[in-house]
Amino acid sequence: MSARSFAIQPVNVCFAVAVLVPVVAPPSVAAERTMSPQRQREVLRQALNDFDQAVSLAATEPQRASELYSRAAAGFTALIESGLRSAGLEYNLGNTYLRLGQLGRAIVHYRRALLLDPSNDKIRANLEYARRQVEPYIPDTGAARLAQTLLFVHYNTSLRGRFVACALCSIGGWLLLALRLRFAHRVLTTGGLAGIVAGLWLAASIWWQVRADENYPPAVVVDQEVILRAGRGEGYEPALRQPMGPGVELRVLQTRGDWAEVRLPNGITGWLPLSAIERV
Amino acid sequence: MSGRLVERIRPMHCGAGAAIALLTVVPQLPAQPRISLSVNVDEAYVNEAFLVTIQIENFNTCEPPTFPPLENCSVRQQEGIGESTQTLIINGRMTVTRTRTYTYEVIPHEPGPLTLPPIKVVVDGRTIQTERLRIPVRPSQTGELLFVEITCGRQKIYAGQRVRLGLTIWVKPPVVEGYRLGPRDILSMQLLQAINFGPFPTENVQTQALQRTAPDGSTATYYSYSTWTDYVPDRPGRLSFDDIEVGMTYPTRLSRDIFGRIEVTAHRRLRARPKPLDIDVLPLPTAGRPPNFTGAVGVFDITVSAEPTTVRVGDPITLTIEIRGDGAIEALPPPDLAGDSRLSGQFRVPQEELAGQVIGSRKRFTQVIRAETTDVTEIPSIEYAYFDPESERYCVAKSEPIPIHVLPAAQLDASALSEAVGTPLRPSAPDLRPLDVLRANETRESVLLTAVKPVNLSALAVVVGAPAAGFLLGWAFTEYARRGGEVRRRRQAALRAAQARLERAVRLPPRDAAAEVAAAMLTYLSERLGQPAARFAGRDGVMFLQGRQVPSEVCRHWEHIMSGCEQASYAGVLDGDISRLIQEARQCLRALSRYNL
Repeated sequence: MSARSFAIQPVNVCFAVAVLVPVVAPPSVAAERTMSPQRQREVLRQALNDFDQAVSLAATEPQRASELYSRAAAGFTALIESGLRSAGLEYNLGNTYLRLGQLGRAIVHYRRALLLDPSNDKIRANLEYARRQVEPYIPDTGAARLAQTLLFVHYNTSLRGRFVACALCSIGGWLLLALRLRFAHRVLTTGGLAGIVAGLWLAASIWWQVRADENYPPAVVVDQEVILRAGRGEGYEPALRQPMGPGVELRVLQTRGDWAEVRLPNGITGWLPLSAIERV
Repeated sequence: MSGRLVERIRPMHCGAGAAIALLTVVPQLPAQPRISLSVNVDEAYVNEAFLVTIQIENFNTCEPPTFPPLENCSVRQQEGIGESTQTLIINGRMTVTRTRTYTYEVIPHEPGPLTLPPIKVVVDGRTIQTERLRIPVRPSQTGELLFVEITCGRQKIYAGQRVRLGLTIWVKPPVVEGYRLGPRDILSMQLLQAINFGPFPTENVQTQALQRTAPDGSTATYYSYSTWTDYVPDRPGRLSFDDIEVGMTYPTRLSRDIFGRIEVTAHRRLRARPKPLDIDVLPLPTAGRPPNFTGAVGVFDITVSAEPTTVRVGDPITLTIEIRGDGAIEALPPPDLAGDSRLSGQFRVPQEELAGQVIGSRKRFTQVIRAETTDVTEIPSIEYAYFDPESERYCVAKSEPIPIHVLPAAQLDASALSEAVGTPLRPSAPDLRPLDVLRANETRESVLLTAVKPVNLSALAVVVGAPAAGFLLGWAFTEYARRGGEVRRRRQAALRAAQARLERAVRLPPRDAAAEVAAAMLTYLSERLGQPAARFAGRDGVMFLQGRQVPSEVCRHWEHIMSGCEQASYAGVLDGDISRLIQEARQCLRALSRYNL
């Protein structure tokens, strides 16, 4: 009997394979992150070496330095595309593009880095350094500056910082109210309500910023000398006399075909080719 | 029998099992990546380009291939990477196929067999390679058909000096089956390609047909295509333009399309590079070089304006410096303001290098300086040193001094305070202010290889909602505990009071004991429910219990005890009977205490 049972084994194996493989085999689309940690380290070290070598050759062999910068940029990009959302990688990519003379792309990556690590002084310093080279300089409107002054917490703190503060206020406020159930004390009531109100205000601030970034995503001009036009087409009159150089920061209001309606920091709106801008 | 049955069924089982396995497994397995190498010619010619294509299919991620160096060949990757995605949905199952194409232009420089070695590509984390490919390379006459020359009007130039250079492309007129293409035809049919024109513009190309000597010494008619540029060599040495390359689709067969227009139906891909120029770029002489020379070569003039001219100590003064001349204006370096001791001795001058803005034939630099004391009465003349290549000597252009009026500062800063009290902190202290330069890369692997999660609205909802939900849960639990505790307390108190009365009944005469038992039962319901005991007397008690969904056994038990008590009160009862009655009453009360009334 045992011998006969053993004879049926291939059938059992087939059924077992049929049942188990769909469960065990990973789906093909889930293989986004195919770069192993070892490979990531190799690519990173190569990119950092290329960058350092390019810096040392920039004065004497600019052509070779440019090739090395491009290779470094390709390495950092490959790491980011492998699923690593890292402020350091975005920052290094911004440095590389700035050294390559691509001011617009440098600002895009500095701003992405700042979103991930808003407290990093080096990112802020290099972003300001890059912004000083942008032509033309477009100041904010008076209303925007007033709003930035009044709502300084919203404008001058990072999203992550506000998120942490919101969590602390919310948890602390409700905790005090919970203690109020046990110990009837006015301080607990006042403190709890204040914490909850502060938490809700911070949550509203975060929600407003995230929604604004989704609905009107920030973008940066990456092409040279782009003309802001009154409509979506080269035939429309310029909406701004001066062409915009790379690095001008704006918000995308809507996109239609190959064109995007944008709003500049000074409130002027117009249309730009979609290929001339890159979203942050 | 069993053995024969198993033997007969076994192939069928195997087949069915395999079919199910295949049907289930095959669609789930991702298609294997494929890579192929192809060329667009069967045989190549010396100095004529052909295309090599690497195609990668069925991949998720793919790193660019590294084309190996080929001996006696130039290889250049074509701009743009071809990529396509094909999506198939069959029976609701979606299959996505991605294809990426890399194209390289290869120009062999020597005849003979050319072997393309296996090319490695990292696809989905593993390395796969192409097959080896052999192509014969045959000699050609490219040099007579197309060649390039660069001309310069000077025999001696200096590094940084602007010179006029000309690039001329010479094309032997293509004659196909007696038809000769004109010089304009070649442009209009886009047969010439500026693969790399280096510093030369591709617009405003002048066209001529001229007699000239070919590279092989013969004289023939050639078409010339000339373009000019102003070039500034940035370093001394031999003037070289090795990277300039011109391509041409040289027609070998022509035909006319349905509109009568001529089109090329067969061609050769020609490539040509210019011969090296016999001109050396000289270094700038060191003799007589002014200390404030920053590298300007040409003849220049400098003008300076300042705004405002009446300021307080420390207030910004914007200097606008304009330099005009006949040198390389675009690459003109800024004047060394920080190094000018007459200026930096009286003003605070930033160290950063000025960018400058080219406006027509002049370049404008803007710098902000700040007067350090009220003793300053003028902005001294700004000097701009340059090398004049015509006279081969260094000269210095000077601006006019600008009178200014400096008032005392509204608030003294630390350095001004130390000067005022006459005790400078460090008389010869170096400038410790950080320079405004680009910060270095982040190099810590732990930081670079750690992914960060951005803030999203879901996390925000959790942060805001979870503590509130937790508070509500806590409040509800507390309230429930408070109310449930009251009910439980009353239930236990009622049971204790009733049991105490039953204990007392044990010691009473039988007739009184029966009345006490009935009173204990009624007291239990009365105290537990907070209602008068008379409401549960007689048949009302049974009906109340039935109305509160108490099981019928317990109701019957209640009725039996109450009727027993009533009977004993009127007719009397024995000691044993009253003891049993008390015992039954205890059991009934314990049963009742388990139900919610």
